[in-house]
Amino acid sequence: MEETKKVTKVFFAWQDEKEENWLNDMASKGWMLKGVNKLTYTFIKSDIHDPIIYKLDYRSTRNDDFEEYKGIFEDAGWEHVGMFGDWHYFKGKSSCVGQEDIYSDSSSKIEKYKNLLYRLIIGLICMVIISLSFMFKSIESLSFLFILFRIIYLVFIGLICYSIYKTYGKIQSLNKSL
Amino acid sequence: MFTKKEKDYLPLTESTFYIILSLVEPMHGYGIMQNVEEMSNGTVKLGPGTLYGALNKLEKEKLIIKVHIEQAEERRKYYELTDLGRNVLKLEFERLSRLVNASRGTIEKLEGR
Repeated sequence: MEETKKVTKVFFAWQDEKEENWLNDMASKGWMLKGVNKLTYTFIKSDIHDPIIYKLDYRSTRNDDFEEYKGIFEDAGWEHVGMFGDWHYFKGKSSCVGQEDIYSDSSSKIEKYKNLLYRLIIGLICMVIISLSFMFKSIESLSFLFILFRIIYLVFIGLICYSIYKTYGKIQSLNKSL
Repeated sequence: MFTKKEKDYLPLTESTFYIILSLVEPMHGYGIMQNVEEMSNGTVKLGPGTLYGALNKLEKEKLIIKVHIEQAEERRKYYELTDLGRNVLKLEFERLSRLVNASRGTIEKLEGR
């Protein structure tokens, strides 16, 4: 019987490297990522002592592209172990993969973050447009729950803004290294 | 004469140049990876994220196109340069040649010192 463990943990859009490090850390303790479902990570206990590297890619793929996408990574020694939204989780044995990253130059890495930035901006615009319908209703007609809802909604918008700021910062620092 | 539009793709990154150079004949992703490593004497090892991103972008820009190959594995898609892609490759080659030619004398002097 395989020993498994589920861990619920929150990482924000700008924390992909932190998330990779955490997964690598889990792997060094023998816990291999088996899948990701919303904010829950499933790990299997393993005896493999090869150093394992996890990498996250951000890419929206259509169904007919997905097999090709996965295939190119597999050919290069990276196994697709899970996805959450447009985030893809890849596992590589450091003895098999040619290099330690799935991106071999800064300009293609910038593209990854540009795709993410674009999605975040679209998300922000949608949320702001939706909020216009209820955010400015007169105060008297509001119940406590409605005020709470508005506060939560504002926190979400704030998080997206912060994600955009952080992602933009990553692109800027990669641009400097070009 | 080449149009303005083709010039807009220049300069190409080192990875993109090698990918386009590989695709003068039909090739799939893994083939490109191996070919680029060989052509560059092992100095350029394409990461899968870089390769897939480039193929995706080049296909959208119509510099390359998917080609159907009989008996090919379903998950491995073959690509080949379009006429536009060929022209961009030639233009970039000419640009790089001009740079090399223009700088040759200076570099030789530097090395002669």
